[in-house]
Amino acid sequence: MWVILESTPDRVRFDEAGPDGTAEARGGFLEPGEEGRLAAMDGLSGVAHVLSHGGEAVRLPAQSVDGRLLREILDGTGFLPEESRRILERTVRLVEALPAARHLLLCDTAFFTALPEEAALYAVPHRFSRQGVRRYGGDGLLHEWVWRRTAVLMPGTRRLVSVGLGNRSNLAAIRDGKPMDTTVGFTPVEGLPSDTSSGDVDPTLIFQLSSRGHPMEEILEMLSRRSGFGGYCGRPTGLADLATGRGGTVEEARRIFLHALVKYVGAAISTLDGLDALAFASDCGAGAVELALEACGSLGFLGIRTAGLPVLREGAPALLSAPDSRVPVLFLPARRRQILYEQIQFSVKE
Amino acid sequence: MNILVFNCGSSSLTFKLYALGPGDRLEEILRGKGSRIGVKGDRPSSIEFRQAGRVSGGEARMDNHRQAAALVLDEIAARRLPVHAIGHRWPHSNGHFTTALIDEPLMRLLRELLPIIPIHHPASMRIILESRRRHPSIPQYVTTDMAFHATLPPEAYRYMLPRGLAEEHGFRKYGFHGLSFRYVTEKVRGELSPRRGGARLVICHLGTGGSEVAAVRDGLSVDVSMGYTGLPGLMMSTRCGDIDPLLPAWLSRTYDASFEEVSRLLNFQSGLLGVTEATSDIRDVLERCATEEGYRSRLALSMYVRSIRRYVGAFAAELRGVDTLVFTDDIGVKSPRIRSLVCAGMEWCGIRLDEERNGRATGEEEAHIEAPDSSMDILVVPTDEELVIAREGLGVIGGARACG
Repeated sequence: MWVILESTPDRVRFDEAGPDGTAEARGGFLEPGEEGRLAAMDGLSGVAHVLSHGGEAVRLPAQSVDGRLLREILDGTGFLPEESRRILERTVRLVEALPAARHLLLCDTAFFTALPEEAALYAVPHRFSRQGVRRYGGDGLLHEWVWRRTAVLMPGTRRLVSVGLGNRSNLAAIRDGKPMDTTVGFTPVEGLPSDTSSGDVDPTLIFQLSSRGHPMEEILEMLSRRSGFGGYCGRPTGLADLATGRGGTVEEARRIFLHALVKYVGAAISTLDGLDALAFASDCGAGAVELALEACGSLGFLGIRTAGLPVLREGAPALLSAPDSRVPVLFLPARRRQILYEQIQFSVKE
Repeated sequence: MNILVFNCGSSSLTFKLYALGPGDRLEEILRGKGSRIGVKGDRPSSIEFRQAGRVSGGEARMDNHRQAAALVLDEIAARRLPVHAIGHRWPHSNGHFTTALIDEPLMRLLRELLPIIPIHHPASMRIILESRRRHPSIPQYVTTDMAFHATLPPEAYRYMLPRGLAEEHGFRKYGFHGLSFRYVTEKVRGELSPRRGGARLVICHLGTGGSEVAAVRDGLSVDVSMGYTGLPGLMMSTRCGDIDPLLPAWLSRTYDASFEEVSRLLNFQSGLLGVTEATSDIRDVLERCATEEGYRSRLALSMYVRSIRRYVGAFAAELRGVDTLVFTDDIGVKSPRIRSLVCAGMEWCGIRLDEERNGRATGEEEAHIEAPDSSMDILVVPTDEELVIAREGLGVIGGARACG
């Protein structure tokens, strides 16, 4: 039995790994000093530590680790965000407290360390790029999973645009399994708007707000926690609300989101010189399908034809495109737990 | 009467002197351009004058736009050409005006608007001050770059910020280079692309300093690559283009720099200059690419081309297909190499360039450069922002015209 740990600097969430649809799994939060709770779990064979931002320091999506290797990662020269450093320091302690278990480090940005340099770098003074200012991408474990699923479902696919649709959406352009483009930047705020973060905005407005007396902490909090669908609508709003909401600000928010999404799909295709398959991955069910179909409606000029609302079967992929569509469009129900479980199975087998 | 137009770019100054003829016809008497003003690069700054087919000028020291304007005004005076009104380009009016006569209250407003476009407004202001010093009694006016983009739909211009805050501060996407986009749109729809009436246009305005892409549907601007200011969008000569909105704060904290310093860094030391650490001029970058030590130039070129291609792709998707792709402004019309790199591999949205026609189009006149059997028109169109500024002025300098 494997346990998955997903952490913020302040707390650790643990879940028993298992395929989707298995019985209610054990899970909860670990307080400091509670590592013993994991050791006491029956039949624990391994722990998967998930890091959302590995900076330049973590370059493999999945790797077996021990304390020594983790310390090497921490002592390396590559950029590592401060929060991730704190998470990894605690991971060292967890790993050493559980010497009998196997430990895997899974990382959501590692897939994107292979971005071509011209895609990863910002056009800022080179000395900053050398110190780790670059696009790190996001949800790499999801996008790699989408790539593997698409390769099975649509053999021969070489150029894929993979859209992760959720409260925090982003997309990746992938050619032959390698990343070519991402909407996520130095932080997850860049790119598509999320439930609470703004997505792309002119950075000048930060300077303007600051010169008008707003403290920096407040501005950062505003952009990352009080903007996005919720900030725009003036009440908590998720992707599912965006899909079902009609009229008023929710409808406006949906249009802004879809407008940005369709543009990013076009931008991503330009980095692939064309498109063999488009895949939407989401755990938001019917609402996400509706948004995906609406986005596809704008892509008719690519020869994309949709077939109307598909019948969604729990966990099963659905084809959104019609038989005469020049580019197949997939919808992949994507539960994070399932993806991590498959990743663990895959890594353990190797 | 004669109208002088100053079109201030971030590193250039284009000027034209028009005579107003019967039926408000504007006839060009003299034109010219100062280039590489205040630029760090491989070549010196230079200025050129053209009058009645004769070209003169050459290298000239221009550390800033005030010196450039002084050179132009000196030369016009030396040629004994009268000036009765002067029109200036002013990129960002923050919604306060489209075209307005310059008086003291307006000067106060312009001063307040200086920091919004730090790369551009101070340069425009220097030209206005020099022009007013030399010609204190003739009417002068400013025309903004924003009016053409007033048709942007809300989903294109709104940022997903708390609504109250966005409204309080006027935070929205505005878009710039509207004078150029307007001129090109009218030219394309009226004369050059009548086959489809240029219903869905993507226009790449590629300048030596600032660059921008616009999406135009049925003659109306529907999206632009720039934003609230001219900082985001394409990678430019010294501007960074699109970056993570949280990056300025991280830079400020990590390097203990004030926001003023970070703003300077992103406006003046980024873009091509930041990546090459050597030149802000794409023409230098193209030359350096061929050399062995040109690694940073080749990287800068890849990034520059990539940023244009991503916007062409994005706007193709937004417009649900493109009928006409246009290249304009200095680099857009004069660099077959850049056009070729932008178009390569873009067949998926209908772009098929004819390399031979592309190579022949070097910017003096309009040219079709699409492959003969292409379903899309690809055009090279020299822009004429000065003509639009001059026409705009006719409305506000009415009282002065009788005296001319």
